[in-house]
Amino acid sequence: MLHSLSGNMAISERSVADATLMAIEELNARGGVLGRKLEPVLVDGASQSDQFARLTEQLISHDNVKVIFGCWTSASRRTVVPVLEKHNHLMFYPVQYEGLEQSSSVVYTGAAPNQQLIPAINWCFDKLKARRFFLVGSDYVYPRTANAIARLQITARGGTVVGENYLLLGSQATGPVARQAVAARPDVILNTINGDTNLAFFRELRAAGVTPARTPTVSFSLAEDELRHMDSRLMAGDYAAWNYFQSLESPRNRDFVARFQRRYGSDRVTDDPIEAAYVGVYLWAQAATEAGSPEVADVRGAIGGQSYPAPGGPVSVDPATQHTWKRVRIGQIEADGQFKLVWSSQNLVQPEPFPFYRSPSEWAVFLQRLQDGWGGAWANSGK
Amino acid sequence: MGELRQVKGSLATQLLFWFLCISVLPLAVMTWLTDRNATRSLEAGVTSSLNAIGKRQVLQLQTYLEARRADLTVLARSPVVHSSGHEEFLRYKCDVSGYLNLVLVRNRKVVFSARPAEVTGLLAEVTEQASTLLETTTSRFAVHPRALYLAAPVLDDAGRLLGTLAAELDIRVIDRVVNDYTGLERTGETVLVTRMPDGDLQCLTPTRHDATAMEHPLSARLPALSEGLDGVRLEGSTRDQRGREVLAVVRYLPQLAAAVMVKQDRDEAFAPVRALRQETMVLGVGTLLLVLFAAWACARALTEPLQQLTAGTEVVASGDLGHRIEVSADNELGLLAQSFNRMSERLADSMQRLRETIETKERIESELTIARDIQQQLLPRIFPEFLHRPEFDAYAAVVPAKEVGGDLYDFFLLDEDHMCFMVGDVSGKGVPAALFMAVTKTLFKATALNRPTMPELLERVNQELCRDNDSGMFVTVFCAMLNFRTGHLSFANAGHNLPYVLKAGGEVIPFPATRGMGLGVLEEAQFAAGELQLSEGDTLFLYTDGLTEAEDAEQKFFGDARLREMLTRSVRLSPRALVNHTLEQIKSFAQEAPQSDDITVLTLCFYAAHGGGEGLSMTLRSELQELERLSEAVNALGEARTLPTRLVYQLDLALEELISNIMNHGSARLLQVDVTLAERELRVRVQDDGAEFNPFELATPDLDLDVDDREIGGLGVHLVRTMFEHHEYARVGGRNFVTLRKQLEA
Repeated sequence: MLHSLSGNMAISERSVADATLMAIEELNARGGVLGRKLEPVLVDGASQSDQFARLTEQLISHDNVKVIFGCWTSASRRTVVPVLEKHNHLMFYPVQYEGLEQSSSVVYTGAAPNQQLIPAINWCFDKLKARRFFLVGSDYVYPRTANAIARLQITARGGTVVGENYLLLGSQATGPVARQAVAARPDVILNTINGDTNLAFFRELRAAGVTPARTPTVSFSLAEDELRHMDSRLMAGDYAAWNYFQSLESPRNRDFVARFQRRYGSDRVTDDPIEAAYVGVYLWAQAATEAGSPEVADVRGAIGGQSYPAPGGPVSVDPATQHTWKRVRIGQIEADGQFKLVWSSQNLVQPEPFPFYRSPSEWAVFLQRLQDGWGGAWANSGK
Repeated sequence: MGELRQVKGSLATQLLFWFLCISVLPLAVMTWLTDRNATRSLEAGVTSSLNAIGKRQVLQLQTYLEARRADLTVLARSPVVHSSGHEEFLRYKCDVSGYLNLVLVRNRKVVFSARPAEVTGLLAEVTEQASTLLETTTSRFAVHPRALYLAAPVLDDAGRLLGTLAAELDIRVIDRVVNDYTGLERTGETVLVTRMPDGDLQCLTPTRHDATAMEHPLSARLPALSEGLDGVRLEGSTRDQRGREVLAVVRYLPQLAAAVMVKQDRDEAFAPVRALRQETMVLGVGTLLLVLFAAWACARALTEPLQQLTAGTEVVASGDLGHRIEVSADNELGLLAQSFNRMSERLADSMQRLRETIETKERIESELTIARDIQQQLLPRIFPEFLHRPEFDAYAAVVPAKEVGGDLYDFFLLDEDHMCFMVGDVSGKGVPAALFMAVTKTLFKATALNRPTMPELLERVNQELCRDNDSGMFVTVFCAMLNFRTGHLSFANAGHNLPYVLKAGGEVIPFPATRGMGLGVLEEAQFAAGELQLSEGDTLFLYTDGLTEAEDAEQKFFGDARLREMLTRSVRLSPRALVNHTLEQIKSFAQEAPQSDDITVLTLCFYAAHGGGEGLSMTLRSELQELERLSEAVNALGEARTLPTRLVYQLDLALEELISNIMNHGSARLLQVDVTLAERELRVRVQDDGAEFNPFELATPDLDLDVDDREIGGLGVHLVRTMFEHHEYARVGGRNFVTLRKQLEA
């Protein structure tokens, strides 16, 4: 298990690690996998990408782990993937991301762009009747890519991007961006800001008189677990797009939430990455069981086509992309930090890591430019 | 011979039980294990095969759908689509790609269609979806009518949406995949099921067993499919839409939001196990029958000869030793029967010999009994003959051992004053000893009548016995001669146990030892003479070693000490009582222990004589008629001695009174009356062998009473008292003695 247990990402990643651990414990309580108990090895990526790469190397070469459950930020994932591919190893990645990637060493249990971003934009067009979009995000690979896709989608639907701006990771200086957003008079703000920069941003928005009723914000990196640490009243009335909300009404979800809170405390919440991390462990266990072996090659052979009755509804691993088929949902933030479900896709949405508009190689060029712009890193360090 | 014990189980049932145990039990266990393993492996096998088929079909469906999707996506991005003159190409494409129709829609209007189409229903739905999501979209699988579309957005060079290209897929392709029963045997089938918006489950294709399955929702509750639609992967037993028990594999097919269930009826899947079960059953029943037959045959082979043997032995046991057992078995049982027959033969021979031996033995034994009787008859048995000798009394008894022994005793008068008596014990037993004893006794009596001294008597008898005594037998003898007037006793001992003297005062004294060895050993043997003076009331006790060597149950001897102690307590007994008492003591000592030797006891009590002179001495039976005889004798004595008439009268009266008292009170059988006249003294002694009775203890009668009222008897004693100035009573040697003395006037 490779997550940031310290640093600015610890706030999100700890909960994901907790969910992974809970799934492992549940499996062990039922006798493990293939008659053997799972033994978790938990290491701390400390919110630093190079640390993630080093620890991946250590987990594979030193700890001889059979599979890695880990990463949150795309920055960390993109440094880890080459190491995984070098060792032909396997990682389950639980967070929604920008797509444009398809590594046989990763099983993506979070949403691809077409499973979160694109349906959300369509929803803005259809339900909010929005035509003017303001894009704001943290300055690293996910928001940059997401907004590139969003721009294409908005254009295709005949909308206008009235502004696009970025904040450094962890930055609190959100004032200028917020003011820009107000000045641009968008119908809706698409927010891909990460972490607690959100709080500052929303405070500035409210200060500038932006209300959800007039100019709603749709966030893509703001889930229940993040809201738990913020004053969610500030965001109440705005929207977020996810595949899973804690508030989903289904027996499986109620049971899952109850187990999670029993295990970690009633003040804890579940959210999309937590669910995706939890499901990832079960998908791995199912594949290992079907393959009759926990070895990477065997599990990879069996992972495609695995389905699992996840708390958020059925998920199925797409054999071609190793992404999961998922249902897309949009929820409205409530004062208590929970979401009220306002829209849900009818069926599972097929993962499409490379959005339709460009070919995979065109997307690769796009990414390369970003990386080059950041001096080989996957985030703007601000230097 | 007792009854044969009733047996609980027969050999046949026991054999049957063990045969069943060693054959059917393992068979049953093996069958059970085989059945279980077969069921398991078959289930695993069938499941695995279903899994493979399910995978194959899902893959085929996915491949088909993905290929069409990719195909349409590429087609939608092709510049041909939004350039003029696309119709020909699209028609061509529709045909070669196997689409049922290819429709280009812009603003909800058909711009082009390979076949006539309207933008309604499913087509409207899917084109709307594709244009909003801007990605290739699969429609829902419609069942009324059956249709499935793919739709891809068409963009212009600036990335703006131009329209939607929709392709109607050929559902028969899906039907073909689903209805490919390769590897599914007779009952296996695949069902493709989705959940309708109203929650009902719906088959999407015809199934093997129901060509119209897609025309109506599935009514039954099917948890396996319902769960499968939630993403649960299932393997194992469940119930299918027809309510049949099936082995099934359920896979989720996200492209169609459907669950694929590949299944096979359990009945068919487990048919091999059932067949195996049936075969095993037949085999089991066959084995059972075989075992039963084998057990029966084996039991028969064993029990029949055994029954013959049992019956035969029963006949033999009941005494028919001539019976022979017929056992045809050519095995150990046949051998057993043969040896049993040999045993019977031998037994019969032995029985014959035994019978002869017993007959011989019985004859010898009866001869021995006769010999013993004869031998016993040699010994004096009538003792009252001495009672007319008031000076002594004697009694003897022999308790012969089972075998004829050699004890002997004898006593006889030599003259008016002397008597001789002896006790002897011949060495050895049996007839020779008996004969030797007879010879000894005869020799003794014959020799003693010539009045030798006791040593001489022994020497002579010894010489006679030694002569021609080749048998090496000998006899120990104690012999004595008593002058019963004086009490002088001379004796000699030839190696015999020394007798005892029971003094009237209560002492028990062994005889002084005198030299002498057993008779018949050494011809020149010399014997020493012994002498002893007896006092009035002394009793001699002679015995053989059979007495002291009598054994009790613990093989302890009666012994000298116990004998002496017994004698000390028995001083006052009469000879007869002493003998009887001794023998009782021995009997109670020995209890049940066998008697190994003759036991002989001889006792003699010396009562002494009374002075010299003329007198009267007579023995009376205890009958009142005898008084008449006594009276006559008293009167005769008075006449003969010219006694005063008055004295004779008084004496007569006194004796009559006294004796009638004794006769009335005592239990005497015989009485001895002695009257002597010497030196002017009249002495009367009355002795009797009755119970202790002192007539002088009778009360003096009340003379004032009338004669008729007085107590009978009392007067006579009173008379005796007044007539004789000296009167006394003594109990000596088991007899009552009344002595009266009266001084006569000159």
